[in-house]
Amino acid sequence: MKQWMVKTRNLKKYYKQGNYIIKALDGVDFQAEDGEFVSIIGKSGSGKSTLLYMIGGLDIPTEGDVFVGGKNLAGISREKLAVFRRRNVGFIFQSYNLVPDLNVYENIILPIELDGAAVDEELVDELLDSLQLLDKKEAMPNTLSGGQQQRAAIARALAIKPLLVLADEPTGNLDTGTSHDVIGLLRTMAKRFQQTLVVITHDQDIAQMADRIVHMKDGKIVRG
Amino acid sequence: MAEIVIIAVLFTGAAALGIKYLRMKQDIYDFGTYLDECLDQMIAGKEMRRMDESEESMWGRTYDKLKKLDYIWKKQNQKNIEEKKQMKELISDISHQTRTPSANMKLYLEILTREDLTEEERRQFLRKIQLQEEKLEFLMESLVKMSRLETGVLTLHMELQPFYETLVRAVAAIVPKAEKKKIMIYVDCAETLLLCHDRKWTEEAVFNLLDNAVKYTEPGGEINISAKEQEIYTKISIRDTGKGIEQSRQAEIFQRFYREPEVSQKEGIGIGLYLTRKIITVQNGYIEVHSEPGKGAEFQIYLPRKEL
Amino acid sequence: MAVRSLKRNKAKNRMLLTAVILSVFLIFTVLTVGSTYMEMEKIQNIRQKGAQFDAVLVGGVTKKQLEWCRERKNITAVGLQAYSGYPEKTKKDSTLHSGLIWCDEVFWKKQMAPARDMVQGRYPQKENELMATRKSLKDCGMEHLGVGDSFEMTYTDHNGSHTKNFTISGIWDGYGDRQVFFVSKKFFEHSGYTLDQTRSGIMYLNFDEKDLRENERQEIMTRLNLGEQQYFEFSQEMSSWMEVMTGAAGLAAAICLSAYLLIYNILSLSVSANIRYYGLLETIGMTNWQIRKFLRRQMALLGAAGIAVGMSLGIVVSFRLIPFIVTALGIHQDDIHVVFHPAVFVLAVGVAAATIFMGNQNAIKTAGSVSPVDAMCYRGSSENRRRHKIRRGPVLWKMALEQIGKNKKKSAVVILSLAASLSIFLCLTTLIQSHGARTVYTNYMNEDLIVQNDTLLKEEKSDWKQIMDAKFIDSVRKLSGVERVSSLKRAEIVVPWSGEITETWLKKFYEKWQEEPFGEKERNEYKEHPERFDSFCYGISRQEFDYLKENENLKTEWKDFREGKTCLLYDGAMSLPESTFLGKTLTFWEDRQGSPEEKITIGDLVSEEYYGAGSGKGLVILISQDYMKEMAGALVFRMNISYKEPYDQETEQKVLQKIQETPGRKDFSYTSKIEDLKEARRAQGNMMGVGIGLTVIIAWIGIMNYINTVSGNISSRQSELALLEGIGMTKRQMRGMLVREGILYGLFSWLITAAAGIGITYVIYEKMNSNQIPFEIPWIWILGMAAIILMICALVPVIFYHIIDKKKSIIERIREIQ
Repeated sequence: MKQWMVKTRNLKKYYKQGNYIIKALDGVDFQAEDGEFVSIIGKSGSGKSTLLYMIGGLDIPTEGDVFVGGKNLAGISREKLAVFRRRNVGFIFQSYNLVPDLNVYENIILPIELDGAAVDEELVDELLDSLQLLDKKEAMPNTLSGGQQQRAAIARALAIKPLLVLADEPTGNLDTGTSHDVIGLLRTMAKRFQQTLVVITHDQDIAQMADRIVHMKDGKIVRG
Repeated sequence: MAEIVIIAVLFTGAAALGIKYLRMKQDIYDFGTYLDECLDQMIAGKEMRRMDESEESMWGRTYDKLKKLDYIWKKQNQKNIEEKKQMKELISDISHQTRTPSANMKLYLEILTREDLTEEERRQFLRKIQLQEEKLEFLMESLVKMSRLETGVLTLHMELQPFYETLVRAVAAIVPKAEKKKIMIYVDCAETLLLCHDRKWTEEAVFNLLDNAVKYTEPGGEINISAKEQEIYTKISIRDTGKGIEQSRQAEIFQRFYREPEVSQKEGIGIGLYLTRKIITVQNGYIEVHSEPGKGAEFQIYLPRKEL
Repeated sequence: MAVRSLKRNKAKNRMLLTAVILSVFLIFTVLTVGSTYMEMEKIQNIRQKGAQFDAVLVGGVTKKQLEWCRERKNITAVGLQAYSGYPEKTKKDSTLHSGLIWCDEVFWKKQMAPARDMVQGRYPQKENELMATRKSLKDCGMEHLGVGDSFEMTYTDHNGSHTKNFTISGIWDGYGDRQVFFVSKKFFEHSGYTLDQTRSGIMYLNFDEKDLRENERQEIMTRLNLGEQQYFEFSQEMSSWMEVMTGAAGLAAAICLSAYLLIYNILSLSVSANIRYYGLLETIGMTNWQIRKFLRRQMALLGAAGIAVGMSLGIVVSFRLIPFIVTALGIHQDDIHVVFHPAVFVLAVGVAAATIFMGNQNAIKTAGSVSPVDAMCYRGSSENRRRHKIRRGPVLWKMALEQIGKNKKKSAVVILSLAASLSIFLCLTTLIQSHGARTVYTNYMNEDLIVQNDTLLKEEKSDWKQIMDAKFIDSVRKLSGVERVSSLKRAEIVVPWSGEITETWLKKFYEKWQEEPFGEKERNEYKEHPERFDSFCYGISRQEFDYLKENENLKTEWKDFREGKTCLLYDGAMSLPESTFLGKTLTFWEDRQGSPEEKITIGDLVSEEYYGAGSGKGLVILISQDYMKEMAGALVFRMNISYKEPYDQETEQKVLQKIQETPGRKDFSYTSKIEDLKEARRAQGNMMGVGIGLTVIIAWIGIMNYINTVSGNISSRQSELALLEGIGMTKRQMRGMLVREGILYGLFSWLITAAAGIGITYVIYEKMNSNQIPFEIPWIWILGMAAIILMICALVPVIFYHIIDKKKSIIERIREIQ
């Protein structure tokens, strides 16, 4: 019996710009099952990023509901959402992922530290090793290549052992080979820890790697 | 005058400390109580008590973690149930699969006991039995392999070793079949390419893919094998110039006992690709297929360069 | 085009412009205050002294000393003055208070000139000519006379009393002692006085260098070979010149530093944006050279505008504000005029221009070193480290610390700026706070009011009057606010020749105060007429006795003192040898008809100058009041009054009123604790206000610097902060981190202030501390200011964060970089 980890119901997000209303999301019913790897693909402006940020609690819908792990995110304060994210959601952004003033290790354990929890150093080292970043443990982000930075971001997202991992165009700035690697890694890790993985991309090949592809256009889901 | 101020300040300070102490004591006590309750509920398998989530406090953190644990627990239980079901299905599959050859054999044996058979006919049927026996044997082997993989009984011997040798062995095994169909095999792999993998099983996985490729490629075609290191994974690509696989079927082909409708008569029981994927997955890699009907098929195996 | 681009980047340039204006204004104004103050003080000193000189030798001038001084190359002027007698009476007035002084040309023409407002006529040449002032003429009843007029005057010189007809050869007016008639050289020569006489000759010296070092001064004093009765002193300006210069230089430096930091900081903040702009210019085809020219023009315009406005503002404010400030700082003059020093102009313009130029060069250099495309995407460099050790500890503090250490240079600038502000505040408040203590002299025994009978200071015994009789004293005592009145009585006594006692006393006295040493002639005179050598005795109260006993470690017992068995001998600053006097019996009687002879033992020597006023050549002893009751001729010399409530203004008024009501009111003088305090407070109070005003302005620069930096900081960290919230930092934690950053800035600046600021303050303080008042920091003020700065430091980042947060949503900020 599979249950859904993420579910949106008639999700709408409208922006006002001058006299126009921009419909970033126009009634989206999205689902991701527990442990599933879903990719969302669409052109720029199709609303895919907006959807992701809604799921992550970074933005508030104009209309509709967002459920994550059974909880309705509506009505939860901004502060609590931050805490929720910190403990349950691993977020990977397109390029600006790491805090430039902290080294790799500090970046990875940052959410844990913010929580005031103890850091399992062994586990982190294992993670670093798997991602082939062990020798870069004390390096600063600006000395890493694009792929290495993304791997560090993955490490950070996984270090808190979340149930949900959200990635916004994680391979946008990477070459094909590295992109494939990064997504493959994400998928392997997610499967191993039984995490739900939602990845936004505009690259068909990357999207294909998922269990399920969702196509978006003009704020609506058109396929998947 | 100054003394009074100092005393007042000290007194206030002491009072504040006192209050803080009492508050802390209460907090710790509450923490213990909540923890007890939640653990009890988890042990009993009941629903956990509802509390405010995402609290920025020690208990809040612990509570959220307990909820997570509870969830994973329950999911694990689900998975176990699921696995048991799969086991049951596997057993029924096995019994189903073996029934046919076994039934056939029985039939042929029965026919053989008839007296009005010619020498020729007798020889024919004997060969048929032989074939079935081979099939049964093959089936048994595969099933044992599969069940081993499935139940996790087997232990892989992962070693950092040149992949070239593994590849060579797999290719060597397929060469006879390939030659028969006049299919050219090209290999592009550095001899120095090291990969952390289990030789025996990986060889088998590659062999299954090659077997497939040969099966579905027309005579005079090509099979291109290449191995390339990427940052995290090593990509092993097996490309054939065969008939290709339809988009809609690309997910199904990795299922157990799947057979393309067109080749149901040919030998094989449809677990080659399934096994291959299993072997690769167990080694923390993954496999992809890229193909269009009529344009051949490319299978890509990704294996982590270092142990994940 | 430069102008257009300037207009376009309004906000940024406005900031820069303001900074330039403020800096120029500040430097200019403050330094002009300084230069005005110094000039005014110089003038004030001259007027107080009555002449401009750097050192003075009093008590006679020997020929050798004169020659020596005239030969010295570094002595630019040697002026002489000599006492030539005093006028006794004229037809109009018989109590005259002026003196007859001769001075040489150097003194008259060079040294005294700055203190004179006007001169009519000429300096006396003939023996009967006088140079007078209105005041001196008024004093002898001749105020209606003018230049060329004559009048008859009886005067006394060394040779005796004479009456002559004098002609007024000139009249002058100005500052200094105006109760004086200047006489001709001939007159002086005939007066019987000579330059080398103790009471007569005075030499004034001017040096070419203002800052003679201690050893040089000592050398001069040694070389002059001063006699016992000679006294040499460097003028106040000379001795404090160094301190004043130091203080001024320190202040100027601090202000220039603040200004520099401010402008530099603003420039560097906008460097990133500028570089991007330059990159853009380059891509559309501007050559490097063109860009430079363009930029220079831009900066020149901005700089010129800022400097012009700042300077004009400074000039305007100077004219209005400076006189007020200078008065508050202690200059009491009517004709304060603002003094502009060219150096100030140069400094103000120079600092601003130099900073702008340097800052600009930096930007141009950086822009020139990267390709245009890179320049366009320039996001500001920080000293990127390759790696750093993992830091443990509370995460928010960690991140705050990291933030500060990220760009050490910038952080240092801000912290320095804040520390400078705090240090200046520290310095000024410490100095001002102690100014009162350092310059105020308290009354003897801290009495509230000491009233003195001036008639007793006169030389003629017949002039002595009892203006404070018992009735008067009683009436004062009866006043409701008066706690205690004690009177100091004085009686003239005669001490007969007593061998060693009188011998030693007189010898020492003559050495110190007289031209000729105590010789046979004088000894004989004393032996025969001891009454000619005025000896006095004072009757002191129990209270005074106890005071002296404690302060001077007396061995005498009160009982003996009270009963008249023992007395105290005033040592007259002559360092009398104790063995000669202590324990010896002194014989004396009151200088009245029929006074009995008394014998008393000398118990101790006291050096309290309070008892030295109005003495003659003879001994001065202190006896108890009880004992003194027996002396009928004793007159009340001084009256010490204590109020029930200290500083009781009302009571004092009543006392003063009583004084006014007595017939002898003209001959009263008094020193009042209240008035002293008022004076000190007034001086201090104004200074405090000015000091604080000044500091606030300077502090504002430091704070403006900080605010600027922080706002730029937060602004450029927008995306980073959004990212942090994305991975789960709550706003509360965010605020916490920013507050900690601010606090760290504050604490570091505290640290530097504590380390360097206190040290510098101490150094400056000691340089100005001739009264040896112990070094004390007004802690409350300092802690208060420090706390304020800390609060500002902590709050500013949070405020800016909120502003940014309101403007854009998280997503917008994150995606800004994407």
